[in-house]
Amino acid sequence: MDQVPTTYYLILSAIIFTIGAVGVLVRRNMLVIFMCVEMMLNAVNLTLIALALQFGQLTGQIFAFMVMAVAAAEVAIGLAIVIAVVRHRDTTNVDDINLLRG
Amino acid sequence: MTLPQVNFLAILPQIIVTATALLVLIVDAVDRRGAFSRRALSWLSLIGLLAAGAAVVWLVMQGGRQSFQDMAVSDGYSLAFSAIILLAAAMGVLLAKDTVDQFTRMPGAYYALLLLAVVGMMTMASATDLIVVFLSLEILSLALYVLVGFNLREPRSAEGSLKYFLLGAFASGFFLYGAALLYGASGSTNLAQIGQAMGAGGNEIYLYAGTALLVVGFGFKVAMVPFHMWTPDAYQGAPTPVTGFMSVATKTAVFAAFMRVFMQALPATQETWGWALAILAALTMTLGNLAALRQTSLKRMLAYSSIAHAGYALVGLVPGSAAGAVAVLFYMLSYALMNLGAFAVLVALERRGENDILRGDMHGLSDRRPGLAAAMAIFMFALAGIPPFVGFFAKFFIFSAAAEAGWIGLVVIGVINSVISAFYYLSVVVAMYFRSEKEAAPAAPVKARKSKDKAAPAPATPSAPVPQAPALATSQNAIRLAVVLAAIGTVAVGLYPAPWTAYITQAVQSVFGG
Repeated sequence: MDQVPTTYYLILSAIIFTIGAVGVLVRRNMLVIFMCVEMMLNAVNLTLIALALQFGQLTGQIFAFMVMAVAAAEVAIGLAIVIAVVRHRDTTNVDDINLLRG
Repeated sequence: MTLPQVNFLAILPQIIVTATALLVLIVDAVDRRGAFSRRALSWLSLIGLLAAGAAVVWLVMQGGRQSFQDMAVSDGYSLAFSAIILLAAAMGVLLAKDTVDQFTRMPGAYYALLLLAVVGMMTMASATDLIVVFLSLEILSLALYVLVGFNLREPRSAEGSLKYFLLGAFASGFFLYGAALLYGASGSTNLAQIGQAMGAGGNEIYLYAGTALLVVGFGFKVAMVPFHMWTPDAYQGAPTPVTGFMSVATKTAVFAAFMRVFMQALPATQETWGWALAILAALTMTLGNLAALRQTSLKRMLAYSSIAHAGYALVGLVPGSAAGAVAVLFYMLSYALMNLGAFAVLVALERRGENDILRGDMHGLSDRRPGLAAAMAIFMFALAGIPPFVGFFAKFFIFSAAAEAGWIGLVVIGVINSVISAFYYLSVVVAMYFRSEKEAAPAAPVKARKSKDKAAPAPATPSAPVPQAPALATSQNAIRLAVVLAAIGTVAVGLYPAPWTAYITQAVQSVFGG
């Protein structure tokens, strides 16, 4: 049975990671930025699992599970912070959140 | 089938602090009316931190290296960093003891989150596996994101929290990708095994890309230029006790992991990352100091100054030598003492409902509160690196370690930066001692002080948000204690650095050799 070469997975995950990173930099809606961060984390998960398959180890898969757990905790904290901000300013555009500067 | 032998002693301090955090939450939940817990929670947290400190001392006396499943270790290096983190946390609790009611109605959550952040930081200092480094980084970051935004009534607090969170999560992504690529290059996440695999020559593209991404990830957390954008906003928006705690403890923990990862897993490419870090260190020192020059808010000034100090500490990491690691560890100890002291003074001066101190507020402080002014002067001299205070030796060790390894140009940049930094630190001293209250900057809000009555401990604030509120926190004993402890430490370690450096040198050499 032919397997998909590991390199393909790594290239794909690099592309997804880049899309996520560029998204964080260019998008202005804090929820979209947040989703882009999640995309970066999931790109890393793909890398880890592809490498674990390549090495025939469990380490990478365990790492990916840990990343998922952390991502879930990050969502909980992040949405709470977004709500705290929206209560003050009623906007989700990061350009409008500009009390602190200098 | 036998159960695996697990050495819980290696993570005893972390276990104690976790248990304390849970106990704080339970006490807070059980005691609904809060009459008991308001006072007890801070004491409980302090006792837990002291117990963890005792565990650290006990582990130091045991000596040697205790390993927790090859994931985390307790050795001299991690214990020294843990002690600094516990010191910073104890100061964070002391600073919040009398002021916590001013920024939150949930003191239990505040102390519990602070303790959980400490657990993450201590684990980070002892991590020997990239998975544990990542997890502990997230434990401390998630707790700090919430702590920064803890003042729900203050829009700046939420804003600082949001910026810290978005950029921190972004940086975690980079760190994680770097860790994944190192795993791809070496086939292991254990730092020692990565080091062996790299010594034998691994895949170079993964190795260099992974190293660069790790620098980005760590750089965000220690506020290294050009990844420092969140720092002033998060530090200014956060409640001041949180700012003091996070500025010191986060840097300490992240530098511990930064050095362990780079010196243990990546010594093969030291020449490359040494150059990269040298350039970043020069940028960080220069930009931090230049930006600090033009700040009127003292919290924001100290935020930029903490960026500059991250740059100085980074200089110690550049040569990748044991001497550099010793210098960084000593730097973190001295930075903890002097910076927490400075923030303690700010907490003592803050008026109820305000979250910042402007430079104009310092005018004539030597007349109004001479003790506090003297302490602040000590901290400012120490931060500027003027002998005999501790900051001088910290910088001296860093620069001599870099000069020994031949980074003369970097040392010159660092010394020039120390001179620049003296300008803004000393301007605070000038404001306190050589300006009278009447000269207070007209732009400073909530001023309207006309009384010449210097006997009054604190002038009234007619235009304060709550008109009848007392000008200062009701009781300041805990804050005074924090200021005095930090001042004694700053002077004492500055006058007698020898025993500390002897211990630190031994601790570092037991891990990195040399």
